Amino acid sequence: MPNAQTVRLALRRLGKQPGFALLAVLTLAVGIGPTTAVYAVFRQVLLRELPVHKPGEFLLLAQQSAYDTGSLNSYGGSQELYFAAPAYRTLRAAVPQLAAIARQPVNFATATEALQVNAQLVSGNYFSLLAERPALGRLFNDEDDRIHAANPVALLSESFWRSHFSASPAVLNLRVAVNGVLFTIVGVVPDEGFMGAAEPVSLFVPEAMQQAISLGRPDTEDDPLARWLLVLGRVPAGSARAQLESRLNGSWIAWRREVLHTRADKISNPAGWMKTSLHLTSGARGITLLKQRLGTPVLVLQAMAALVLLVTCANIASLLLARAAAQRSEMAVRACLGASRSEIVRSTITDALLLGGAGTAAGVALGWACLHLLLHMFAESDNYLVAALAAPWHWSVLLVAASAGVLTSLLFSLGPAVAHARVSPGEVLHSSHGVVGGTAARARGVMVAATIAGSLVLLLGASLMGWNLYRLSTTSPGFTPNHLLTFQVDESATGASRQRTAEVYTGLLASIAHERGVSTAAYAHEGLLSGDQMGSNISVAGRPNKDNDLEPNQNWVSAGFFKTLGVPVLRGREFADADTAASEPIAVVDQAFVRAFFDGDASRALGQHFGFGSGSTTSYPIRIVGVVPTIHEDSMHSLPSVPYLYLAYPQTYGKQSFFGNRHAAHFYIRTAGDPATFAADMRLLVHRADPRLPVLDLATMQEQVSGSIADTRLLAILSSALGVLAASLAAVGLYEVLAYQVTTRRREIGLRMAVGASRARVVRLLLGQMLRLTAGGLGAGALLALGAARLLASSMADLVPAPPLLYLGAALLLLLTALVAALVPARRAARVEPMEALRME
Amino acid sequence: MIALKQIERSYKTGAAQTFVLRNINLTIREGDFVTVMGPSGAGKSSLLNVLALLDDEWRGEYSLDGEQVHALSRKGRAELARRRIGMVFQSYHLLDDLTVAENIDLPLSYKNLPRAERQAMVADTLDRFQIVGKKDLYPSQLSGGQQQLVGIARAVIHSPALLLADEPTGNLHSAQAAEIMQLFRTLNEQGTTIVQVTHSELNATYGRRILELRDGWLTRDTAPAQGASGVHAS
Repeated sequence: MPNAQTVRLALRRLGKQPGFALLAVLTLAVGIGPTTAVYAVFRQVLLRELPVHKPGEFLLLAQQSAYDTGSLNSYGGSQELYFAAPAYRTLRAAVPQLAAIARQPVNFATATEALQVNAQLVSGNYFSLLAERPALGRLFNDEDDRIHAANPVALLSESFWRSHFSASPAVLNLRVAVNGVLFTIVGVVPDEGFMGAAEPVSLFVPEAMQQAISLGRPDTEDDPLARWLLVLGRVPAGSARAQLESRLNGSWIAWRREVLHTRADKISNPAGWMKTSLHLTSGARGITLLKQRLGTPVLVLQAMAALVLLVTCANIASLLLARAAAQRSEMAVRACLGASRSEIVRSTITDALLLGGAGTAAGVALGWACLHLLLHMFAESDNYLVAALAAPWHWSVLLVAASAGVLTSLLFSLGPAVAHARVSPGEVLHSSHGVVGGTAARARGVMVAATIAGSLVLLLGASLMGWNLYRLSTTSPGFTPNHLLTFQVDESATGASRQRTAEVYTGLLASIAHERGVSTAAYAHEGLLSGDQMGSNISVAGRPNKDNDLEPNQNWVSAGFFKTLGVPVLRGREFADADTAASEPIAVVDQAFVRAFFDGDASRALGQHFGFGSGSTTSYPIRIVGVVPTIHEDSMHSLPSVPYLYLAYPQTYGKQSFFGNRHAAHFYIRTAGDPATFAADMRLLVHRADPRLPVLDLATMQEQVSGSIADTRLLAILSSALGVLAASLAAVGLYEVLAYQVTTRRREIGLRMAVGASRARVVRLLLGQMLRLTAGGLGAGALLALGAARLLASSMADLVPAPPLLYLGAALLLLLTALVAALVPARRAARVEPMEALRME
Repeated sequence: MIALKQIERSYKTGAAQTFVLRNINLTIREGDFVTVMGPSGAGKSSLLNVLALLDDEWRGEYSLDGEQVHALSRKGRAELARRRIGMVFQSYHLLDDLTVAENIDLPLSYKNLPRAERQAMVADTLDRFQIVGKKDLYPSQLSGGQQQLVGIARAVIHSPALLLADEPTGNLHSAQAAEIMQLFRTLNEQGTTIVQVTHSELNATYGRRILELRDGWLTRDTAPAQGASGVHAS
């Protein structure tokens, strides 16, 4: 360990070379900053555990079955994690330390405001299992959670309580409407829910209240074929997990057998139904929605940031090697005066650690600032991105920054330390000038080539991401997003009847259509590009079902929907006001539907009938009246993987389905001018229609389109920034090496010129050296990039390779940068006066 | 104090071997003030390197204060040099980043001496060389003569038995050179054995014995024939 004097002297040495120290610290900062910032996001997305007591003790139950049937209401995570309520009760009877949860977006209304929030339905023992204490009031107990006799009580999450109720204790016993059902607030709990930061929970209600707030969905509490609950358990470290798993499996198999017996009519593959097992998976991180959505891009970014750090490392190593050469005579003097090798190495490492420390501090500050800048840039774009970028600066983030600082310091001090340790004390008698040794010069060359290689990989990565962003930005969504405003309301979530809901939507649509500047307006049940989908299998009249038939997704849309969206009707017609609940059920289908069920022949599809479900009792009440192009319904990244069919919204009110009474409406308003200027009017119109109705996701369609590719944009921006950063570092490194060469080879250059070399030849000498280093770096970089491309292709299926010319352009850009970096030293070399240079020696 | 026996030093130049020291046999007694002279390339600095234990690649036998240097490990030689030898250089080789006092302290900092003891020794040396007023200055703030004075102070602070000087006045004008040489004489009179390498006939007059090297051979030694030193040119 360096002592106080070593540190003091190192500080003085660095203070005497402020330019060098500043350059090194800044270089390190731009290496450590991105690494730290990306790690903060990496931790948030991939590593962050639930903020509960001993999260490592939490386990999630997962089932693996050869065959399953019935309905599944998933809200994230693997389908294997979802259980039917009767299954949970059976398992809990065998193992009491189990709890159940589910998530549901609900309409939350007080006397003064109404908004949509995430609610988490929890079993009565959930909070005691989590060992949580209320911030105010009380928590739930088993009494609150009795099936069909539950208490309408609710808890607020602490963050929601603070943001919406100013942490007022008066919330206790407050009556609020949740999906139109009155609940009493009995407490506040410091919990953000099991879905993490991406979907923070504002409200907790007893799981047994599910039916009350389900907006008319069928009662699933006693349905063994309706899977909608996550089951978690707590197993203290060191407990016999295998025994627990075995006990659970015993109950599970018995329950499956019983269901097979009672619901034989619904289970067509009894052997597959019984080929099942339960296993325990880690629940420490809850349901990792952020990981599912952003895991791979963040992993790619972390790898890129690490590469920038390595490039930085090579750059500073090169810088320090030059300094080591200049310090050679000082080290010889020290050795001559009795300094041991270890003392010399220690002083070299102390210098590096000091630089590393300052660079780390600057890097952490830079990373923090960058992350906040990104958060600001993407604040309006996407909840998931915001949740990822709003990563807290946990101590482990600082630890990673410090480790990166120490590690890079040690790494880049390795070369100088070896160079110093090799200094022979006898050199002190030979020369007073530091002359770079052949090995050190070669090492610097290798470092520069390495930075060029790393830069090429990053620039090629940036080209790939940039190309994909360009492709997505220029992809037509299949509708015309210009002059289009959208927002979402859900009258049904206020507890309104179907009739009232229909009246509100019809009235709202009429008042919007009367607004000056509005050309057309329509609404749909599922929002475009929201990612929400609903689908079920269908049977077409006169066409036998096939095993590989796709299950179409569906959307319910009002009259004029396709006209408002700017989607051309290819065949037939779209929905009209005359298509009411009382008229014949009709559908408009997309081209993918026609391909899947009518061999691509749209004229054959028109007039055909289909129905939902399959089997001998299926009827075919719905007639196809129109065909539209396949549009980007769910995401801008790709077209839907299944066909789409559209139903007339008024004809869905009588529909009995898993969605029950839920009738949300995403409004689309085509305007003559800037759609954003209509936003305030829309709020006013909704308020007039129903003051309790929250307006959600009010935005222009362009903003929605832009938001749906925000993750690609973030990846493109960050990878480009990292690529440019690395290329700049490579240029600086190259400049330093060549400038140093000019200084140390001044005599040689003078001599060459004295014996007849022209200035152009001297410039060519330097440029030739630059070209050799750059070519070596580009070659190595191309090989590395090939490997990286294979890894990327296997982990990011959506990525489309960029045209080869773009990659070539990136390489040429790097070559050009290297050329510019080499020009200044080359010109300086050409200006060397031969006699002066020779006299200097 | 010093006995060299058949010392040879050579470098490999391609396939050939180039000798810079050939069959050097030499004895230097305690209290001697020896001047090594000769034209450039004669082997003066190489001999000084061997004497200073800065070079490990020679062959032959070297005894310093009874210690058989040729039998010592590299570490042992470094330790012996640290205790017994002080070095003065033509271009002073003061460290720019250190003050005068810190430069003088440098050899002590590589020994396991208590801080207080080191500070006392530095204070004594500053006083002895009359440079107390300059102790906080940096080398760049001193004249050449003053820098060499500090270089000598640094070389003798640990009271070496042997002081080796490589062209100690090479970068100084004559008045400064005379002062430095007078200082060497005083140190020698106080008991320090001195070996200096120089081209200057005038500097040589401060010493009591002259060795002359040519092409690596020791060709002249002004020591009395019956003395402890001898010249064997072959």
